[in-house]
Amino acid sequence: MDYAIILESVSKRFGDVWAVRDLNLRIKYGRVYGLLGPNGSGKSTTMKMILGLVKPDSGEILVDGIDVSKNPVEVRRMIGYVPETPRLYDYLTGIEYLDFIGEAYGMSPEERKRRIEEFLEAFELKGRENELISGYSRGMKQKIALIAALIHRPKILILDEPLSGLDPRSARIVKDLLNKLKEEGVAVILSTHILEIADALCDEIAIMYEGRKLAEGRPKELREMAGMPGSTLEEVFLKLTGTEDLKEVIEALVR
Amino acid sequence: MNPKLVLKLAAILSLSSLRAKKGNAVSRWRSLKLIMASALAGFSASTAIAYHLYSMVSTEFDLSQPLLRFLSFLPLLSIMAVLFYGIMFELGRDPSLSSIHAVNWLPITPTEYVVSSTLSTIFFTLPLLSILWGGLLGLSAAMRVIQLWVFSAALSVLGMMIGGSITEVLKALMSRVSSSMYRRRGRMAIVLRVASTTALIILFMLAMNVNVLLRVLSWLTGTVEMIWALPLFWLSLAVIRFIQVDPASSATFSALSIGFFAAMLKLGIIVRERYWAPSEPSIRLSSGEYVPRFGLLRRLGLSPAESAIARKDLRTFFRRRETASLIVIPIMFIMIFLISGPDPEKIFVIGQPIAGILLFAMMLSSTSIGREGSGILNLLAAPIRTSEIMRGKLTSTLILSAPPLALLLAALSLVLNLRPEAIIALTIGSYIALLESSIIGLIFGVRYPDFSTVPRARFITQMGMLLCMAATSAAVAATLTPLIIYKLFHPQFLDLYTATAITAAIGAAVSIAAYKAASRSISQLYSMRGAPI
Repeated sequence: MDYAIILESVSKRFGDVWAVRDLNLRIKYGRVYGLLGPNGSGKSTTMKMILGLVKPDSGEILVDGIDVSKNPVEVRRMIGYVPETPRLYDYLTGIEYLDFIGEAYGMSPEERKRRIEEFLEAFELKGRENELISGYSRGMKQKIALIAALIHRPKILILDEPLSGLDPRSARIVKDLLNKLKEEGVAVILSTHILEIADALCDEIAIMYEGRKLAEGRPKELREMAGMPGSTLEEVFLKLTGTEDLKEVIEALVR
Repeated sequence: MNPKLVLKLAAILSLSSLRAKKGNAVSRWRSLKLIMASALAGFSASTAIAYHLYSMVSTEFDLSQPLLRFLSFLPLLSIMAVLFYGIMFELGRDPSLSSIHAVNWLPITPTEYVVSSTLSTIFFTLPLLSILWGGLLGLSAAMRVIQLWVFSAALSVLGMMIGGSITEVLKALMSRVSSSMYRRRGRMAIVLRVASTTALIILFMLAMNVNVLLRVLSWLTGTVEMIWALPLFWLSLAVIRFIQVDPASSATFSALSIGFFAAMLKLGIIVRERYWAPSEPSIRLSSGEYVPRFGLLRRLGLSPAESAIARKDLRTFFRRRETASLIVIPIMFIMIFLISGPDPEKIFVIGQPIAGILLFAMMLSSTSIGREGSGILNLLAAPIRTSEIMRGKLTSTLILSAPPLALLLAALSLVLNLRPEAIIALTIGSYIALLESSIIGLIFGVRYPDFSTVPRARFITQMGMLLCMAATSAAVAATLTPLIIYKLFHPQFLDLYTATAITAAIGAAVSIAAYKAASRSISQLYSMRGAPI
């Protein structure tokens, strides 16, 4: 199976609002796939539909050839997920939370210990792991959420703003780790508002706007598609989403 | 101090506190004007009712002494009401929702904040106290002691302000003390927090108990003059001296009370100024090496996910302040039982503490999904079957409720000197009822979860709780009917062994049916409304 994830004509409405509209995606193993788009463009909903947390109104989603609607538990077994906002248990310590996640994924005690300690060391959480999560900073919570997504060696990673709140060292570790995992054949779907990160990390990018996929391709292809070969991805993004004319907005704000 | 800003801030603090108490059924009450209107309506109605009631019963009862006692008690009651409300609200509050964090970066002085917060705390006790003021006004008017009512009510308002300002001192100190205590004491601090919260809730419930209140009232009016050294009692002493036509003493105690209020307000301002930006405590629970275990629950046959969920629930249960309100349930039932006195012939008296534990199990189970809060995403996003979530939740409920039930049954058997066959019947009946309560609780917990993490979160909707209580009561009553019939009527056709066997059979059937229903409910977990996905 070449494709880790296939979305065929997937649509989702919340009341009158189309969150995702007729979306088609094909994501291969060993690739980092970026989902870009302004707030409310349907990126998070798409990720949640892949996980089976939100049911699409129409269309089909296959993860490693498995229909998510038919066997969501099997699908989740091979996915690591970092939500937009870390949803951790405040009254567990960092180590207890990671132990819980490891056990929920069926990891052996030995493997749990080895993987958790490796990650705690890497993310400089060693020495803080026995503190309650409620006392952690936002960045520390984000690190715990990232470790929880990675400890069970997922085949597919779904990362919704994974670098949000991280210090530069940890952000660099995540970037290098994603490149390493990509080499090992892991498929990564990543959403971010930091377009430099998308430019540097993603093999393919889809730009979403109001639930639709406006454009898809390698960063270089997107620049050519927008007729802006020498531009930054930010300029391409703003042009494709029709929000490039910010001059008037800025002038109104400083008036 | 900017009075406009103080009033605005007081309104904002009240509104945010009012709206934090989530619940669709009370949404129309989330308005300050409506609270004020309800207080006014309560005042008017209770005045009219008390006035007319007096004219109906005055020939048979002499209400003058109880009225004088209540009027002298009113200022102290006002202090206690505001104090309890303020402390209870602060204790049930998620530390991240603390109102000071929302405004401490604004150009507001500690004085402005403390005065606003005091007014906001007072505001919420208005509806309750206005009913009391109204009732006493009606009686005072009928008995022509209006001037006494005016004096007592005025001091009652001062009492509310004293209660509010003491609350401010306590709030600032509590956050500071708990913050430093957690840093030093770790796990013990968490146990202390739950224990102190539980004790405080029990104290509050006892204080709201009419019998206890009447005892305090008679104690107060009998010996009140001996306790002039306690500032909290000065207001009531002022009223008593007023009744005794001793204006000099009355004025002295009133003036002392005003001074006490000023001192408390000043202290509140000082401590708030000092702890203007309290830091969130970082609690270290252990410093030992991480050693993952296979665990007893796995050895008992639970899957990894079931065991992980049960252990997580058990760990978090004793660390959350909100769960103190659940721990209180069996303790209160047992206290009522102890106060009533154990009597083997009074089946409903014996049943009280057992009912407390059944209610505890039902509450644990029915709130187990809502208690996940936004963390429910962890269960939904992990490769965990809904059936595993159900068994994990049931396991944690049974681990928390079965041992106390065993202890209680052992104590009852000893204290009541029960026969062996009676002990067997009581044990079988109680444990079957416990299983039913746990499973039925879960059915409704899944169908009506409340994921909000607001102060005093309920974790299950009001409708869900009502239905859950009705269903559990019906199921438990049906199961225990043979044993109750045997105990009450001693019919010839039913011996204790037969009654126990029938109870076991009914209980097994109900439990299996409930388990199937719970399985069906929990399979809908992914499509439930309001889940913070």
